[in-house]
Amino acid sequence: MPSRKTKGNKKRKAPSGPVQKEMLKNVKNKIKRENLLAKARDEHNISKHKSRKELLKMEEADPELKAERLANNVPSTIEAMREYDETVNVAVEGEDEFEEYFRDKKAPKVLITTSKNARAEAYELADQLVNVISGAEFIKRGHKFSMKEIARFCINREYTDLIVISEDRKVVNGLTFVHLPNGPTFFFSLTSLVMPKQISGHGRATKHSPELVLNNFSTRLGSTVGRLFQSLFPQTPEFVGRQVVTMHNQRDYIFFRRHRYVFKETERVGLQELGPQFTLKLRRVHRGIAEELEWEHRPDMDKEKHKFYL
Amino acid sequence: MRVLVAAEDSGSLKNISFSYGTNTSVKGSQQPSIETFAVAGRTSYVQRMILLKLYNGKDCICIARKGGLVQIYESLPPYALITEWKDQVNQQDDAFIGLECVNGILSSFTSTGKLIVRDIQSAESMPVEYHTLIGDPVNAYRAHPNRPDIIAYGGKERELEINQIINIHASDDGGNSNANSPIASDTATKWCISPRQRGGGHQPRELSRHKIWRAKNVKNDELELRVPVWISDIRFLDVDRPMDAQLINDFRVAVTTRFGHVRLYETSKSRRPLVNVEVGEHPLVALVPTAKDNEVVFCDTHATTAKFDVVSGRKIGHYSGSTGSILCLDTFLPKKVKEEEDDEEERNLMVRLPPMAQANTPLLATGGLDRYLNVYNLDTRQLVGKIYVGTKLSAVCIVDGSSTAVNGSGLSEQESEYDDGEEESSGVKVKAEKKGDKKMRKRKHVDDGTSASESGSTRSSQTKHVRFVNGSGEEDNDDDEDDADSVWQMLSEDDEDEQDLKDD
Repeated sequence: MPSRKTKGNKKRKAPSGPVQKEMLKNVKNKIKRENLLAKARDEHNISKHKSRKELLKMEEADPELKAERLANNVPSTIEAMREYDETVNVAVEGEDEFEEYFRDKKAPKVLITTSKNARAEAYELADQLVNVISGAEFIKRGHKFSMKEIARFCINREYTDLIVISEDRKVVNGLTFVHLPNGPTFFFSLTSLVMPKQISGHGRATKHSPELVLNNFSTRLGSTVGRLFQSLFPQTPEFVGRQVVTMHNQRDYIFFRRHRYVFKETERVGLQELGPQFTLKLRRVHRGIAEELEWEHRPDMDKEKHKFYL
Repeated sequence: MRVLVAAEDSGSLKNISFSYGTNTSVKGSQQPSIETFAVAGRTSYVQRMILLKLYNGKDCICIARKGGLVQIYESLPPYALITEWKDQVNQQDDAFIGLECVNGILSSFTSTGKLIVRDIQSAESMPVEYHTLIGDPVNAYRAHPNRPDIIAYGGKERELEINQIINIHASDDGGNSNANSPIASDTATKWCISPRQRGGGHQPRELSRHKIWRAKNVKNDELELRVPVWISDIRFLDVDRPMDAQLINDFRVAVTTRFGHVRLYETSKSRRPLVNVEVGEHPLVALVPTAKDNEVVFCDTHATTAKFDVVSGRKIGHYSGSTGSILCLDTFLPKKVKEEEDDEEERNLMVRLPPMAQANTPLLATGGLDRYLNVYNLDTRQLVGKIYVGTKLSAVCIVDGSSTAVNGSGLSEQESEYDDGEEESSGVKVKAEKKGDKKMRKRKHVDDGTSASESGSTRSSQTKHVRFVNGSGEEDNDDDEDDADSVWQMLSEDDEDEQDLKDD
């Protein structure tokens, strides 16, 4: 079971720069040295707060200053250094397999099952997914049928999607999405699964169909993946439930979160996490039901740190 | 360079013109000009596309759409629709698996096994339809590139079969009433379709055909299990060799299967394949011949496109660069190169030029699920152009293979284009090539092992064949032919299959 990271785990680093540790080297007494260092840090913090307050005052008086500061302060993130991709934010041409859902507003009907011989964690996640996706039902996986056969049975019963949770050595490690009846098939690897009960202060989810937030699915492949997630949920969410499912894509990792929101004021919104949390990474896309390969994550793709595919 | 592609997502055709070295994945590179026409939606996307010349010498493209519509468009702007008709397609998932035009005889083939033949050279408006039912399942169909009356087909649990259509015949020795077709400019023999004689309860529009040759499945595997049959593509090779009048079934046919096999049949020698190699674990999709008679290019469902020597049974190298499965291949073999083959000086000159600057470079275009059109140099396997099309590609046709864009010309321009190409993407390309080479070396090693264990006879002929390939450049064509024949002799003599055939 992956443990949840807490903020206290990280070692506090001494702020470098203004506090000069070098100068304290000559002080032989350890307690004295510690005191001096603490004092120096304290002074530094106070001066920092003071300067920030001044800056705030100045910027309140003159909003242009703030705009200028923000414009100049562009952090060089890996996202900013992203390699050129001609498919980013280009209008999608033609139709695809998800056209039925978007054009005919076909209500999704999803079947969730697990890999063969699944253990407890897979069933727990299946429970959660049934809870998240309002039109989903869980059916226990037997030994008899392969995924292609299951997909065929699902087509006969007019399911629109099939989700298979793969589990290996008591750890859930993947999710397969098969859009029916004509594909495509997606395989994601799943990491960092956190169940709701492990999230402190988590809320209890309701059965309302959630609102959906899809972030940063920009390339052509990304838009296909985005459309897959869209097609799992009904097109009009039940706003009464005040629940949001977020799929946030960052550097090809898709972070799944679920929250309940409340408008405290007109400006501020309160969020309560409902869970579960997990991270997906796209590994393969097949046309049809696991037929021709559309895209595959190859190990050599990891070498290019600034190239992203979603 | 001008390439026509069929977009699967929008059911349209696209005319893409670009110069060598264009790579849209590189920021700030030259952009190709893409014109979209004949939009019909995804439900009737283009399944097959071929280039053809109409009776009036007009260059056209013929497309077969999902749903049974066959259309002929002009291949130049404004891409006017010349004619269209609907070939009966019975079921919803019925598909065109073949569209061929040989000497003015246009044939289309659907997966339910209906062959429809039309004479587009004699008919000015609506060509008359002749048909025959072969029956499903059929997954591959090909007409002989020089003889429209010879067809080959095969499919799932259906062995390769070569048929001759009796109704189609050369019009000069036929001398019947249908021979009043307008004369086209080229000097090739005219072929025409004659209606069947009434009687026997047959419809006049029905073609009659007879089997010339039928393949036999390969021997059981080492576990004594039957090897399943699922032919995915067929190509006639070495089509220009002189036909022996006595031997009616003297064809060399290469076949790919959905079980990863490339097979080579010599119909006059054996019913079993002379060469049968499993090139990979994934299903093979398409096959194209190259300028050399012993080399073909195949692609599979997992983004592999490779050149293959059908005689030695070895993979020569990969065409790397695609991330998705390739669905369609097309080659551009400039005719001039073939003519100049005899002229020693001309050939030497061509060799000295950098490979990308040659106007007559043999090219390979690939298109598939990754939404890119990749164009390679067929010989060096170097990437010549990479263009993001935006939709999945279901068919490609190289119309013009010259190194400049449609309107540009001149050697200096070509050379500069070549330089540009090097600058833009040299780093990536060189890396890819090197990787490919390494892999190839490894594969070779493996291949050696397998071929040795397979049969001694193939091994001995391999060494012989290598000499034939190397020598072919220096000697005359006739000598090559003899040499080649001797290789075939060797292959068939040592082959045990021959014995089996006699026993049968």
